[in-house]
Amino acid sequence: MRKKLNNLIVPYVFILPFLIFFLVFMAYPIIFSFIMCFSRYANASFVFKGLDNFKFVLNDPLFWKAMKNTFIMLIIQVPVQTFLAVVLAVFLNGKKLKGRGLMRMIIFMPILLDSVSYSIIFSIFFNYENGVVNNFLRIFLPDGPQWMNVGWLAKAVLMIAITWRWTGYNTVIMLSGLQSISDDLYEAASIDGAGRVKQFFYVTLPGLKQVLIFAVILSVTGMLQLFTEPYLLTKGGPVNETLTIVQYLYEKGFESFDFGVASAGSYILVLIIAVLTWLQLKATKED
Amino acid sequence: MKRKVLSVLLVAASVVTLAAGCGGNETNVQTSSEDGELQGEIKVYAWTQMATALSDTAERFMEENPGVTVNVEQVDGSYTKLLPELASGVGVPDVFMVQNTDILSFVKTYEGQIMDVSDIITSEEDNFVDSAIAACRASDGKYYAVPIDIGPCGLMYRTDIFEEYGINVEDIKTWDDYIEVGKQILEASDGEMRMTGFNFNGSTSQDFIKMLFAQQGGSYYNDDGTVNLTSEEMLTAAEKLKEMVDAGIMMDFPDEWNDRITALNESQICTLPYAVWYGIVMKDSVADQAGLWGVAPMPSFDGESGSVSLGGSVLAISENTEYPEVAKEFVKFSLMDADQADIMYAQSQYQAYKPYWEAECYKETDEYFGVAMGEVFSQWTDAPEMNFGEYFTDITDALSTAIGEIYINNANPADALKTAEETAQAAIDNK
Repeated sequence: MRKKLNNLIVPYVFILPFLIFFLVFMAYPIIFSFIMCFSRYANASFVFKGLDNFKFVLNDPLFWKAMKNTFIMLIIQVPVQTFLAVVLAVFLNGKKLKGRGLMRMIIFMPILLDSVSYSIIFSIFFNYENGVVNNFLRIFLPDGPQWMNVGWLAKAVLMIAITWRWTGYNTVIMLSGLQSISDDLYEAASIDGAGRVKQFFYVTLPGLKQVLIFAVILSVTGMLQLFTEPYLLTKGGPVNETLTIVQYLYEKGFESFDFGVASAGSYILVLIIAVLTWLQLKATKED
Repeated sequence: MKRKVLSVLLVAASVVTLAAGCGGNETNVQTSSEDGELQGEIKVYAWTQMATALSDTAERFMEENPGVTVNVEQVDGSYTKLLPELASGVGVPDVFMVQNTDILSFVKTYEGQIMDVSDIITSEEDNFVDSAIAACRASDGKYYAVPIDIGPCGLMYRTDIFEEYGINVEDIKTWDDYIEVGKQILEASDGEMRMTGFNFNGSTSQDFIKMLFAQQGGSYYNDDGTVNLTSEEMLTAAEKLKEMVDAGIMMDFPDEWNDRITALNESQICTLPYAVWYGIVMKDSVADQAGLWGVAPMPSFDGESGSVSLGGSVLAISENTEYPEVAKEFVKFSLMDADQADIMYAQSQYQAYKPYWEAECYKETDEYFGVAMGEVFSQWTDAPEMNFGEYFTDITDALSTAIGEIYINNANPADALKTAEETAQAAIDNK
């Protein structure tokens, strides 16, 4: 009897540390913010408001602008970054490459840099009057562009910065995928007369598929939750052209203290991420 | 077996510490011993120079009151530490620093958590700068914080450059004069030297337009409490600023704080119509221009008074403090006792409590600017009162978009401000 009881309890004791963390840091905020969606939260008490918060968010032109900005950046940045990561990974996987370890390290390094420092460095690079980029461009052109005052340029700066930081990370993921492709397959392909290009499309890419999906889902989710870079680099400017969804939510929650609206907005974002992830999984499913 | 006992002990120990951590704040509610001496321990939040200043006043305060411990913590100016504590009501410091633009919105959002300190202030209303205590007064007429400092503004200018181009600073009375002088300097320097700059797209700062607006005594609200961004004062401010931009005398600072420092260091601008507290930033970040700067009155719209205050912060006390007496006494000691003037002034805090201005340090000549900054700026402290209200962040957000529309996208100021007004009002109505 005693043994039976032990068998029943002991597993739970072992998962208790996780369970406590899960309940306190995951379940509790999720439920709490869900309740906040439907209420006005002030001074640790709720006043029920029904769907008002959702109505406000969906009718706020700024929310749709943030949505549009986020998606524009996502649609351009994720494919470019993924492409670069695959190319770099294939290059770094080359058997005859010298100094592979060093190069892998250099390519991975940007991710180790603190996001605040690198955002500040990029804002100095792209400064209109005194930045390195414009000083370089002024050698060939009469003047450099006003990076932070033109919407699409500011978006471009953000995308360049993010790509610079995250490509290395994705490259490492791809590299691990590449290394799990057996050499036998390449050997067989070359015996069948496939060149390097054909090998890439018929052996490398299919072998990389699972890892590729994983990396793309990560990048898409990351872009949808983009905050640090626009917050530090552009403050959402010029004229809200780089305002992202999460930045909008942050401003509503922690600057205007409207936690209800911020929670409602984050649930809309959760829904979007869920749908997108589901679509990606579905679209890439075998057969 | 031994190991088992050990692990049981460890688990027990951690549970006990957890329990102890939870029950800690129920003990000790005694605030003063029988002979009236203050006793207790308080936690204070402040940022940058004010944190340094308060640590220094705390030391003096503790010397005079041996039973008291004051712990000053350096936090950041965007309340990342304070807000979760206020929202949850756990771990709130006894005394905390807040921007004067935010205090009333805190009182509203965290209702019942910020102490009514009318009893300290009311009897001394006359000793405070009007515009400073007005920012602490809620619509119920009660005061919820004690003003720390004010930001009287002056026209700081490069004396060497003015001399080089033969310009007399006394000729600058109005903003129109300012534009004229700007054009002269721009022409004489082949388009290199600008008067000053600001963030054209409005995302990193809205200081300049706020300053021009406040200078005319404008209000962000109508009498019925609704947002007003289309007042005559706001339109005038926006249009005058546009004139300056169009005249080419303004430099764009996309990242205003840092770009301003760069522009100063590169000698790309020759004036700075800004607040007195910026002095310490210049001494720190533009140290090699010491002695090259002078100070003149702010240009104005009417050619008479250009007084305006930019920035300023306040100290609030938590309603749930265990030691209200200690907290109040410490705030009074630091902010309403001119004996502490030397500490505050050394940190570039221009006190809102007027008796501080009589202190010796206010009369000492400042080597960087060549004048007694304290004394000079005391002539410009009669800024119009400003009601920031309970929703100033929403107004600022909307205003920042309007600035970008006007100075980057060339929108009509009246239209852009009208849109901003509606956006801010909609956000407020939803609360």
